[in-house]
Amino acid sequence: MQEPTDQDMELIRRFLEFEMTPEELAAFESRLESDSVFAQLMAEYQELQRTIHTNFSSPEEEQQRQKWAGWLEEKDTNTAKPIRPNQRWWLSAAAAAAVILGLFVGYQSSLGVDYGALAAEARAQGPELKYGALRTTASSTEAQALLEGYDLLQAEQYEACLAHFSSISTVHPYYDDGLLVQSIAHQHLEQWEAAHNVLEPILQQENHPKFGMAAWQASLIYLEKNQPESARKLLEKIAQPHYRMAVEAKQLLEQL
Amino acid sequence: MILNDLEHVLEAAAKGDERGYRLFFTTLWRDLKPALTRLTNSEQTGKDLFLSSMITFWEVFVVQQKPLPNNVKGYVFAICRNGWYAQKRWAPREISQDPFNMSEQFSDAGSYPFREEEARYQRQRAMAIALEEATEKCQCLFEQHIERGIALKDLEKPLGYPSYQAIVQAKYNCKKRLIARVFQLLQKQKPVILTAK
Repeated sequence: MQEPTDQDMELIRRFLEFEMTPEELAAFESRLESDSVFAQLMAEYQELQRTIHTNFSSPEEEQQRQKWAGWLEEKDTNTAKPIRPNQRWWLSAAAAAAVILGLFVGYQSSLGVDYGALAAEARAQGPELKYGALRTTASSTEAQALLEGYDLLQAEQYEACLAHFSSISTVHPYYDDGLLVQSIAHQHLEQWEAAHNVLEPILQQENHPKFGMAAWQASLIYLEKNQPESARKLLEKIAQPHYRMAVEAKQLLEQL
Repeated sequence: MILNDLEHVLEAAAKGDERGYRLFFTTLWRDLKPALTRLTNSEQTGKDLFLSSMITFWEVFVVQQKPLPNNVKGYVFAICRNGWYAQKRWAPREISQDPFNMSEQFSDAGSYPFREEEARYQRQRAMAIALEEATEKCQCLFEQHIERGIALKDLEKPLGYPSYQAIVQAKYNCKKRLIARVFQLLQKQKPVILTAK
């Protein structure tokens, strides 16, 4: 077997130490998929890194790692979400639709593609809503209203988040951002129809400034609903270079 | 979590206040858990992958205070996912150079004791050589800080470092060189049992 080059080792080190740009990351992942020798090198290097981290840790570092492992366990004991009684009519409609969809899901699953898993993976690594600049620069009550709703989303208070935005009018300057946040809240509650419906006003206008993010969210919702063709149509639109999520859209299209 | 906020959280963690970091850590796990569990078919394996990547994350962004990537969550997931795929494609498998068919005597052909023992010996040997070749300062750091558990802040002046950050950076560099050298040595003395799928 050929010895690894210094460049290969440096590439792997840069990848594992979070030094790559998104373009370099895409090229690296592409090489891992196509070059099995390189993939082996990566696995060996990562294993070695783990071994040295373990064997060359100070007692303080060792305690810290045990503490982090403990954080994961603590969080796990509280993952069961309470069952909330909910009187909203569309949940019943969604439940009925789910029975019908269940048959369709069975058919799709028989084809061997787990679109829900693809959506989960894409959601995990895809673009996020960011309001850092707004938080530091905007002091208007409208901006604060958006940030309050966003903070409720981040705090996993999804129903409170939805209730917060229900009082915001369509002429609110951050109304469209609010729609995106609401869609994500609905997605966390697995209310796929509602999550999609809330994005409709944006999706109807391709030149809307928030079209890219809305289309990204909607494509993930389509995948959760096992509608890959609808997801594909949207992803093809936002795979154009001028969209912020073009790289992620292309990667997801390749998987579809 | 918004990038600006995360930078503040990491600064605080570097100073010993880990409350924000704990929230970031557990939230990140919450977000990545479904995808990692689906990927590996095992929540525990997903956790192990996540913890490994976060050990490096801490070292790079809290200890060394390097700038954050734009999409932290995506990058952590990419490291976990690619690490998993690479592991799956690289697994010790039965080799043709097994004249006594030793592997057939064991139920798990890829991991019978003699080969594991040999691999462990070669790793230890490579480690020993790399340590011998390390600079005196690195050897001293490893001995005092790792083996004897003396805190870096207590070694800063005795070892002649100008600042705490300097000794932290030195430790990171020593580890980095050690990993690179051990890796080089292992590739040279490639055990026949370790081949790609």
